[in-house]
Amino acid sequence: MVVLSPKMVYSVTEWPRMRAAAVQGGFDVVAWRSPALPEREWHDAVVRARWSASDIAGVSTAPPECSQWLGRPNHFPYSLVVAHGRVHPSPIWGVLPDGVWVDSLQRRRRELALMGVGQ
Amino acid sequence: MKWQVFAGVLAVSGVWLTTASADVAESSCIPPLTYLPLDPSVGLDGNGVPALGTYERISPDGRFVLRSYSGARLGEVSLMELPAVGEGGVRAYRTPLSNEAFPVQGSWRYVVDVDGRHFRLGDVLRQQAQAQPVFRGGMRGFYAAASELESGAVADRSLVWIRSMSWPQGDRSGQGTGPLQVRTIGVRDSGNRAEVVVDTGPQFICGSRQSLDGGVYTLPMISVDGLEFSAIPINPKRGQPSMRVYGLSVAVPGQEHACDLRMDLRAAPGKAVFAFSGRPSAMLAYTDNASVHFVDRRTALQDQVFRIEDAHTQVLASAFPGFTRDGRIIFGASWKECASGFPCVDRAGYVVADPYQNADYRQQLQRVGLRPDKLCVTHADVRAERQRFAIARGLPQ
Repeated sequence: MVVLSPKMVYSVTEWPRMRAAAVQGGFDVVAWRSPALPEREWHDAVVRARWSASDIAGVSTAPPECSQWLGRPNHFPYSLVVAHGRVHPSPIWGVLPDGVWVDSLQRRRRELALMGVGQ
Repeated sequence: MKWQVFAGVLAVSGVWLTTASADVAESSCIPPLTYLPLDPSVGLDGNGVPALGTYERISPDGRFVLRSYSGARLGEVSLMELPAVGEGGVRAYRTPLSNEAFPVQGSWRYVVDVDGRHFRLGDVLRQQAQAQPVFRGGMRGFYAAASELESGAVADRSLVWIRSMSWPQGDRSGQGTGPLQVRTIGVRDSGNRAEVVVDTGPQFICGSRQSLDGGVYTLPMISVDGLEFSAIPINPKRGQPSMRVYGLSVAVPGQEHACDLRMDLRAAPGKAVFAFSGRPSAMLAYTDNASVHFVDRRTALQDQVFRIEDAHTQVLASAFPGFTRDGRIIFGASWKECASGFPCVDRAGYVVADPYQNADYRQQLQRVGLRPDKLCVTHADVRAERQRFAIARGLPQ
């Protein structure tokens, strides 16, 4: 699960690449735009970044019940790994190159699996 | 000196000598907090407030802010000029810079585009988007940052030494193959012409910390003196990711960087920026949950975090903070101006805070028996820094 905001430019310009890498790494990706962001600002930014129609369709508004839970992330993209009914406690902040991005996601998925076994 | 301290105490106590001479006013404290609203023409968003980015850098005198844009101007960078004492508007200059372009900290001799092109600050202010670079060099790419080296064993004092850091370079897919890279260049700058005459090339750093910190750091920021950096190891071998401070070589240009751990904030805030070196407190500042905090790195206070107080309603930090040489903390924010009997008005702009006048900080210093670096930032401090910076960079005062 990823929260994006063009307030941090790379979270828009690099997201299509990072999304593709995550999908290729075997992850289902849910991407939300920051609840604090005006819709117009988001729209203007993705147009400026020349996102494709599918890139645009791949990011939705965060459900209201999640907005409060998300709070105010300190950096975007703000990425959380969810698996086995749990959210990993360590978010990933900022853009990353493909290799370490996918490694970081996989590491969190493995740790969540181990937490489930430990119960 | 005694009179300066006395005047400061009066200001902090809320008492003011209205009959004071100009000299007394100069030696008095600046307000603990100043709010500088932006002119509404500076990049409006859908709600009629400026659509600015979170990335910003503050000049050593607090006069200029390098600021990214969001919305329809995504990828553009402007230089904003703040007034000296809260009077007058905020002026915006266009620049040829893009994305998270960065200044050479400490001097702001150059501002740098993400492709390594260095521009003189004065050229950008005069020629704006038409300014031409004077040379290309140093680190490029995401989250790059640079500082001018002044201390340490500088190899040749006739050169301008710049240390920059970023993720490993290469094409997009190749970035991040090592934890971080540092590059130190020596520049011969005659005033008319500048060229890189010494270049260490990109140096991989922190490989030795792999067994502790893992292989990837995020939100890196080099210190103003270029001898330290802050970053969050994303996949530490033990514990949670947290913002940490590490050491770089004091030798210039320097071949080995120890990456020795200097501090662990035990929290994961936004990018942590450094104050100017040379003070015992050696502060850091950062945003966390839309508020700005600072820490004093002296051992007795290392577990203490101080929040910049609010003088308006719903003050939300909207950008990274930065320190001036005299110790002010400046950051972009939004707030509501509310007056009795009137609806509140949304504002966006800049907050100038004097950490030395922070009540919580003063109380903790007293509790642990430490002396503050100074009682407060004075009007004279601000004037001196603006004058010093204008002279150094050849700018009108």
